Amino acid sequence: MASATYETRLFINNEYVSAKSSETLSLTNPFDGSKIDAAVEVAGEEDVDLAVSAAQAAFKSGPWSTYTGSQRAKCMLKFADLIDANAAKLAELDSITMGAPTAIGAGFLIPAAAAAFRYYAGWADKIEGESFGADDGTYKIVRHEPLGVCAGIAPWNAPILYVGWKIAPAVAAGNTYIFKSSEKSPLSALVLGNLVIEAGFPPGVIQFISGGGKTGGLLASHMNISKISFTGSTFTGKIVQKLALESNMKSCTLELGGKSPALVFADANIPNAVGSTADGFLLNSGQVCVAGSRLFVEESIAPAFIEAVKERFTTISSTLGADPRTGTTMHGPVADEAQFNRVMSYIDLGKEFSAPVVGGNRKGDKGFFIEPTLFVNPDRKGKVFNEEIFGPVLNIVTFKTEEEAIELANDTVTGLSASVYTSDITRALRVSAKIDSGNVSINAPHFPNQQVPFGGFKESGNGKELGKYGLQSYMRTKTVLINMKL
Amino acid sequence: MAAPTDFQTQLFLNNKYVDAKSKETLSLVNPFNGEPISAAVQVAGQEDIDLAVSYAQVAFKSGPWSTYTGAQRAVYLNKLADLIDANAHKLAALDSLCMGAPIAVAENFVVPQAAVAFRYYAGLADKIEGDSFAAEDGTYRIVRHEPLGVCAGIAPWNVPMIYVGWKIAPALAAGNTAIFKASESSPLATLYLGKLVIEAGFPPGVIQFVNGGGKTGALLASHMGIAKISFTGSTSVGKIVQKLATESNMKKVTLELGGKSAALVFEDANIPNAVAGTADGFLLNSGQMCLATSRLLVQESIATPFIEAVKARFLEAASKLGSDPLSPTTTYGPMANKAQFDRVLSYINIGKEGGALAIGGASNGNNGLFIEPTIFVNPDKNSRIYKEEIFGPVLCILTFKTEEEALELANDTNTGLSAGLYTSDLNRALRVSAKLESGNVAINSLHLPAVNVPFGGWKESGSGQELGRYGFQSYLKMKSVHIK
Repeated sequence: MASATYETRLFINNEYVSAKSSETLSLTNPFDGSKIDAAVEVAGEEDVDLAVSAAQAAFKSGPWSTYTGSQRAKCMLKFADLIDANAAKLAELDSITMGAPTAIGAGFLIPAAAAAFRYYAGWADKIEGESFGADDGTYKIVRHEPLGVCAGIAPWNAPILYVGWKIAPAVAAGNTYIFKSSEKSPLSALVLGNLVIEAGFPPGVIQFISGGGKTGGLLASHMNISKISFTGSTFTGKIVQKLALESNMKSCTLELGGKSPALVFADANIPNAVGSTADGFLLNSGQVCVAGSRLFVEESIAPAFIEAVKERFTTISSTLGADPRTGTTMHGPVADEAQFNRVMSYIDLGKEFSAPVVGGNRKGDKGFFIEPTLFVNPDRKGKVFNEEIFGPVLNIVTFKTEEEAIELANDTVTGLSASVYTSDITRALRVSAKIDSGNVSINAPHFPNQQVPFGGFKESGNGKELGKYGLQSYMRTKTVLINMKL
Repeated sequence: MAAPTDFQTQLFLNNKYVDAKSKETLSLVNPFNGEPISAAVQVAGQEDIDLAVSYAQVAFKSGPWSTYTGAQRAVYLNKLADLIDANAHKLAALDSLCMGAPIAVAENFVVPQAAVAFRYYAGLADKIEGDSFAAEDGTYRIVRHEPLGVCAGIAPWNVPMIYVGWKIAPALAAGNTAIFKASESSPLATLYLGKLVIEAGFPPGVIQFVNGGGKTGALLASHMGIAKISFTGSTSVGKIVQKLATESNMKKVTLELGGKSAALVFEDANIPNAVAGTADGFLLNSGQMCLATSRLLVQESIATPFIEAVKARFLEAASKLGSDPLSPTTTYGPMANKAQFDRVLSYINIGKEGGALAIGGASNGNNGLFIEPTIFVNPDKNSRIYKEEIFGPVLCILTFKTEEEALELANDTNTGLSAGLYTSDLNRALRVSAKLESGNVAINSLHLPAVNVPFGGWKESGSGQELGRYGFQSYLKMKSVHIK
């Protein structure tokens, strides 16, 4: 493969600049383990300080601070078009760094980021406060104001998606943004710098930096950042929250892990349920926070259902090994060696209790492909059943009654996503009401929809992204009380 | 600049320009020089309206438009906004030619406002928010917000292109289809939009343009297949529209009618700003604005110099009368048509009989329908010039002593569209704006509607609102779903 030139610098104040820190990231292509010839520069303390000052200046006194909502919207709509126009290029960069098929990246995830910019552009000139009359002698106005400099820390599993989900609502509300991609997949976000300029955003409004936990820690604890939005593991999320609190009590939104249940009742449309809980589960090789990784099937249909899921897993397994950059590839490797080792160690643990009914091994001897793996009736106290694996490893347990299913579903410290498969509308509404999860899908795998809030209950997160609530999370209210008795 | 000469004259139905089945045509006249405009604009009769409605119904119920998500509708609305902006000069020239607005104002302000409305409402298309309530009592409830169906708009001649944005954009964002009738005095710019509708990619039947006068309007107001009519115009015609709507199929009605709005200038106002708002601001579009503050109430202590300042502005405007609205340096145009010209003059003559004329009071020049900016000071409060909407450059000025008196004067009208108030005292501003019986109040400036807040009149100035989120709601209907 010919060596390509990658953008490896930081994007600060509408310019690509070399980091002051001399640390760089090493990237490998999980398709074949080859090293990517890109020494991506890591943002250190000085770099983060520079980005924050640029963002502050842009927020307080730069042109952006004088823009109306509709002027902000104009930049956002242009940016959306540019993301769409560059989807193939962005998808390729993601593919080589974390293995996602370009068909999924360019066909679905990257357009979703553009769609988020379009959706939030529509909110920019509709920031509605409240007012109350002075019947009690005080005229009351509630202003909704932006927060200031906001920062986002994204994971590697759908890199550009988070650019849409985190930056769009923030800039629609009038904030400025510093975005840190994952150290495993930094290349695509860096390319966006040129699109930011072309879209007409003034300097300092949107900035991109690269780095790992240390850089993330700098953002989470910066005294002049007003909000941090983190998506990633629960473990790291708690650290982010702590750093945010102990520094300047900055506002903190967390989208963390899940061990989400899928409940299949006997009256479900079975082909749809199989497609959703098997093929749907294997989207992105199971590396999705909302993955329904605990599948609960009603006893009466379980044997046939399990066979059907096995069959889908076997079929998909047989397609593994193709280059994710080929347009027909639907399933790639896991993101890198570390992820591979992690997932395999969970599989090995699971094997100590019982053999998987399908899968359980590395696929091939090139790259980090893992066979879709199914454990039936795993150890209910074990890690495979309770901890987020973030890979193509599915647990199936059967249940007799609806009450049992709900109890099983809720027996977790997570609460991100759930799916319910039934043709009984009353059951669907009743069960979705009782599941302790921030997001529930009926008769489909859960994928967030930008019109409505997305956020986890319990240790799956704090706060919401998307929808009108996502916009509000990038604003704060100020109450103005005017004494009318003077 | 030379007047435009290539005109659309047919109806725009189902994404095509087609001949009307009726044989009637409109006669258009350039109010600047009285010359006929060589455009035999075809009038839509009963058959034509029936056709338009059935196209619009098909488009709404089963055409591609009925399958689009809000985000998809938004793409088309934004595209049309861009096309309107790109064609602003042409559209402005066509309006200017028909009704005499200075092209600079039409092109730089009026036409772009239509694009603004399309962009604003494009942003709402995918944010149609219903409600849901948990089943605490055993019944799960969802409130759906659904589009109405075929919506019709009837526009006046005073700022023709703005109404295209104000009436069509929210309707389409909500998922409806629209049939729009421009005024019989100013149909040309609106008709031209058909090309842009096609270019923007709207499916057939989503936006249609019909031409005609009162008869065509009545066909729309009484059509059994139209779900809503939005009318802007005079109060007397608005009441007819409402009646026809009710007696046919009880279609929803929004009315934006006339005003006889008051501007209150207090002694602590920033005087130059208040003069600009109440004099120059009043003369915008030669006073032919529903929200014109045609009753200027000035606090006695500052009245004498204030009135002199207003007169000076009027004289300055009068000195510029007579130039071609199609010229980009023209700031003041003629009355839009002969009927309006005659109407305004007849009010002026009534006013003259009352003896309160201060300046102006005559038509100007031999060319065109220009009327001098005119002021009556302390007219009889019962006179027709003080009570009735003139819709021209005729201002009545009264003085007041106290805030209470000002409010009483301001509210003593069966209209309630707009009000202006000039003061530097914050509490007075909030207190007085709370007490004015008007749907819209501007503090320390001329009132101009903004797309993000509702615009609607109280009392006989109207019914319902346009613009903002409330305007959007008016193109939706609620359905409550109870699930046991």
